[in-house]
Amino acid sequence: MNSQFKKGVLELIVLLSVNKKDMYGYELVNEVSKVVNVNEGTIYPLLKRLTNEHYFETYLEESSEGPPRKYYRLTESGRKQKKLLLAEWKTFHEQVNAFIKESENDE
Amino acid sequence: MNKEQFIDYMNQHLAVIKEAERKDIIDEYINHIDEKVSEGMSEEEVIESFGDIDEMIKEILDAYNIDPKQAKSTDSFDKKVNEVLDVLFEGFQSFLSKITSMDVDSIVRLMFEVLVVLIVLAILRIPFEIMESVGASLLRGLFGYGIGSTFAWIWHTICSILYIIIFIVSLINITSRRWAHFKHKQDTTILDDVKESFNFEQAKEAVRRFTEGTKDASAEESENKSEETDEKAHQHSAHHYTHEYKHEESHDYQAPSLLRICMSIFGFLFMIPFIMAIIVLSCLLAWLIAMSFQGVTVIGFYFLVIGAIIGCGAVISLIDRYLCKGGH
Repeated sequence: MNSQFKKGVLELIVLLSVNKKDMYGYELVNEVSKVVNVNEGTIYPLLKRLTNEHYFETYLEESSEGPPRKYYRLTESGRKQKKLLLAEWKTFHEQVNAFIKESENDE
Repeated sequence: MNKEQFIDYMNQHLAVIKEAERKDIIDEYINHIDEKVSEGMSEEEVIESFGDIDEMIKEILDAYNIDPKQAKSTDSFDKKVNEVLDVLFEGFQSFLSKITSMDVDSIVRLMFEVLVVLIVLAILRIPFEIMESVGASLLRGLFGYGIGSTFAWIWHTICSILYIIIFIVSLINITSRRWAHFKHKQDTTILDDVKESFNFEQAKEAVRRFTEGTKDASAEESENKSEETDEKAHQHSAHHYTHEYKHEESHDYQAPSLLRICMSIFGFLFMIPFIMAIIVLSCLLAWLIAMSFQGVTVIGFYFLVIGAIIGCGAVISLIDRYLCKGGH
């Protein structure tokens, strides 16, 4: 898939995943790569950016195996951003679909 | 690339980011690699799955709103500037906390000590002054006024540089000794430190020779040193006097507290030029650092420093001229 397409929806998918439940980095990467096939390395910078923009807050939690894990939690402004992006995505999706139908009818 | 190499590479290219933040983000990658390795992949395979690492670094920098190009050109330089700034800031902070936690007595004492040091250093100027004028007139006499003046000017410059070097070295020497004593809570006077710094025994020796009337080549030097010791002796007695005076404070509180206030005011007035100089210098430094963060190269930085020095010199000479005119 086109990498520019991926980048656009990646933020939405990450926000939706963390909205379901708090997740740690590796878990989140696995969740996201189920939906979009991305280079796994590119998700961490996105997590950092979303944390810097205060959409996420982080906390440490002990794990049964290995060192404590850093969990991501959606903040109030993160929830707002998720709603906004979701609405944008829906209108965008509808408009594009309508346009595709129209152009198919023309053929 | 294995894990170690990957960590090194990331650290190197993310040097602009603060250490704690950098560690935070690199830890995420380390965790990722460890998890994948425990699932049976090799380190190399996991790192390959990250794709283009430079692209990844660009995105991390982007998350901090840092222009990757700028980060590349100045990363090591900025890091150094940051380190120097951190050290300066910490020093300044501890200095401030020391000063603010001092009582009036210690502040007066500190100012008195600064005064002593400056007087000693000013006296140190005398031999150089003599050396300069004697040398200059000798050179003018030997080579005539034309070429002689040029040589005299060079001689002046050499002497000034020498004096400045000695001034700075002895200042650092005295302060570091004083600081060490201050830290170990040793109750020595500033004069002990000054004595230590200048190797006082030598001066005493010279004075003794001078008083015995052996006028050898070092007579001029020892003369100055004798003046120095006289001055120090005065200071010493003055110091003792203030100490005794402080002892009397417990008996009669009113007068000494007035004296204290007077001395603080005097000390404050005395400190004003130094404070102004420090403020101007720190503003200059801050401006230069700000410029360097905006991507000025090392060469540009040098030009800025030179320009700033020339500018400062011009301003100072203007003020000087104005004051001289006002005085006449």
